[in-house]
Amino acid sequence: MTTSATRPAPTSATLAPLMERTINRLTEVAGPSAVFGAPVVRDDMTVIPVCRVSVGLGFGGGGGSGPARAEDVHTEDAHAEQAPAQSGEGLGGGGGSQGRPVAAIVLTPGQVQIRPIIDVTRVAFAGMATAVALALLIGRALRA
Amino acid sequence: MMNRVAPWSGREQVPAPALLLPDGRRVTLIATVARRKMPFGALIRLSPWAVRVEDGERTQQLRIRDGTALATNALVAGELMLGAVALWLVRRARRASAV
Repeated sequence: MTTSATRPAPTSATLAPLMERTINRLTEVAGPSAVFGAPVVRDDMTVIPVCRVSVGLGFGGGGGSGPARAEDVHTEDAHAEQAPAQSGEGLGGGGGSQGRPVAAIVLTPGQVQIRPIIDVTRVAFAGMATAVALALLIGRALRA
Repeated sequence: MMNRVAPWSGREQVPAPALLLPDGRRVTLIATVARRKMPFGALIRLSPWAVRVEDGERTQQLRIRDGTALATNALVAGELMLGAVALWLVRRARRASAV
């Protein structure tokens, strides 16, 4: 028989400072330099690539404790009341980032142009997904 | 604007260090940093906002738009509108045939 008592996750005590530090460091790094690339100069023309960046991270942890399982207790410790308590805890975290080009700033003498970069595949996928969902909905309405 | 309740969360515009072009123009790139703190994590979104070009007395500021997002939203909104009209027509035709 296994009994366990869950104790509060060690988030507030252990995770909060760790998360705060990571977030602060990330904020320092994630500045405008992550969005605007290095300018490329060719003759009279200067091109600055522009992108959009998303960064996400998460942390989690938990722990628990309870009496040892009967099969884990040695014969000399056979009394359940005297069995040593077992406990454990774990912490984990993960993160990810995504970036995609948005535009290119073209600076020529006397002129500033912003040339948008359109991801046609993304637009087409969104359009197709919506079209399929609507076709199913209208098909169901026609059959009803 | 920073969120007063959760100081870490919010959105602010951050200018990058100005660039000086060979022809003397001064270019400032402005980005938007949107931060959201959640109970067990955080989300940071960095997106371009505008480019400011200063040429002596003349200052020009151009907004940088996300063409992909605009096109996607416009297409999906259009399709949803068409779908709603189609559904309305189907229901109207059914009601008319029932009478």
